[in-house]
Amino acid sequence: MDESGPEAPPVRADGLQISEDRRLERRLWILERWSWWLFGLIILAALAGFTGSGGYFAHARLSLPAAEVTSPRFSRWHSSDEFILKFAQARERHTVFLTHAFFEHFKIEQLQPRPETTSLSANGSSFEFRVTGGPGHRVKIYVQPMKPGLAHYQIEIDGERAELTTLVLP
Amino acid sequence: METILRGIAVYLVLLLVTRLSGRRTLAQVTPFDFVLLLIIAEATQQALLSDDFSVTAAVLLMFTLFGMDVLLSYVKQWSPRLASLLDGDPIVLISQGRPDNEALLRTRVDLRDVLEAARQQHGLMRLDEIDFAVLEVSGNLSIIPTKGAG
Repeated sequence: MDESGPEAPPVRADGLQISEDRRLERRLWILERWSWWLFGLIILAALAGFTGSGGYFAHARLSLPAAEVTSPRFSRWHSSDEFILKFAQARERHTVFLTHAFFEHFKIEQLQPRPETTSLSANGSSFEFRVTGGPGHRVKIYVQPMKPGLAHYQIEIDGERAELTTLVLP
Repeated sequence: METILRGIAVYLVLLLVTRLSGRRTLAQVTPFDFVLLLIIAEATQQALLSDDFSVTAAVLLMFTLFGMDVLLSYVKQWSPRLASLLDGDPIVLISQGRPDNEALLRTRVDLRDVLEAARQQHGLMRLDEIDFAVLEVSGNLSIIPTKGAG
């Protein structure tokens, strides 16, 4: 067993006994400066919406003949987010079908307005809304992502399927 | 499991951000730095616990954070190079009365800070009474006066 103990720092030419590695410190100073730029870039990316919770790029818009779907492009684990479905056609009833893949990634906190009927099938859940008046009705689905990672899922609106992807950040 | 992973992730991120923000940042704690520290603690607490406020989660987190700290102290003891990377080395700011301008600039310490430390530690009045000034790993400034001064 080595009992020599820890090595004492060397004595420098100026007489100070200290373990200063100036070459390493210089590298770390450069790394520090670069990391500050990185901190700034992360803040700018967050302001732009690349980390979810608001910002221009946080949500994606997909136009289908039946509706325009606004879905989260970037979201955060366990924090609230929303889908907005804006129906383009006038109908007596609108149907929104969410596949099981959707429920694997998201927990629904609230549907606004409340659907008139809800039905469960082998592939997912269907929500039916009774409609009055012209087109332009909106349904908001408030959700909470259940696990971090890349989420692929489908939403069907009046029979038209939208393939959506959300990056859920931890 | 999630609580422990959260604890490890937050510990490592805090370690990295504190190291990369530079030693000067927390070297001399001003009242505002103290407020900042409290805000960081509050923001981190949310990420650590999420919506799990059970005693079990809190106890697990304590074990994880202390465990990481003990583990890292052993790793640093085993590898002095890693210790230098994680904690840094002491930096000589003034040697034999001569200020090292590169070190002062890079560590964001100016001569007024050095003079303040000299006054507080040794009652020195002038820069030429300082033989050595060292920015320690802890963030404190050590002043060694010239012979006859102090």
